[in-house]
Amino acid sequence: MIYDPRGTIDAPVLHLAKRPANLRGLRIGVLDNTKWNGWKLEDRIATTLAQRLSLGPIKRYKKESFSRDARPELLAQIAAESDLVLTGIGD
Amino acid sequence: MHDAIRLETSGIPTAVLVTTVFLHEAKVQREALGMTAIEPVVVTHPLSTLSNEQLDERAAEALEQVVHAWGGK
Repeated sequence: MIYDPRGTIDAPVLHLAKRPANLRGLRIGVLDNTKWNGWKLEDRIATTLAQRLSLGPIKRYKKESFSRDARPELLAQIAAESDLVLTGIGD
Repeated sequence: MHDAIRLETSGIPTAVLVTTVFLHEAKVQREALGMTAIEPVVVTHPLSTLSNEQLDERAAEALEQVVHAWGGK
């Protein structure tokens, strides 16, 4: 008998959110994951796209640590106050 | 990736930035979490040691990808 130690992943399939027909005027939420320079990059991207595409206001949020998931309350707040979100993982 | 997937399941299109060296990890995570359709926005590694000018270059790499991730054309 041979066992494969790698195992398998059997997660339920989750679907992407519905995409908007037009980005114009949509509110942007930027979630800082606390990695060094991460927020600077996110800020550049969000402000550039807001100008180019006439997006709505940008609101910035910060999680406690890049090594942890954002608190559910924070994610709920972001979802309530944003139409689109930009965040990051990794260095 | 967890945060992005939770936001997506809450109905919010989310662009998630990842640097090149973390792309494999991001793909493994999205599969483990069940959302294989989410496409990370990939920029060149690293970020933490960059100057402001170099960050501008990284931002330029990401712009079209972010628009695509949000559903824009």
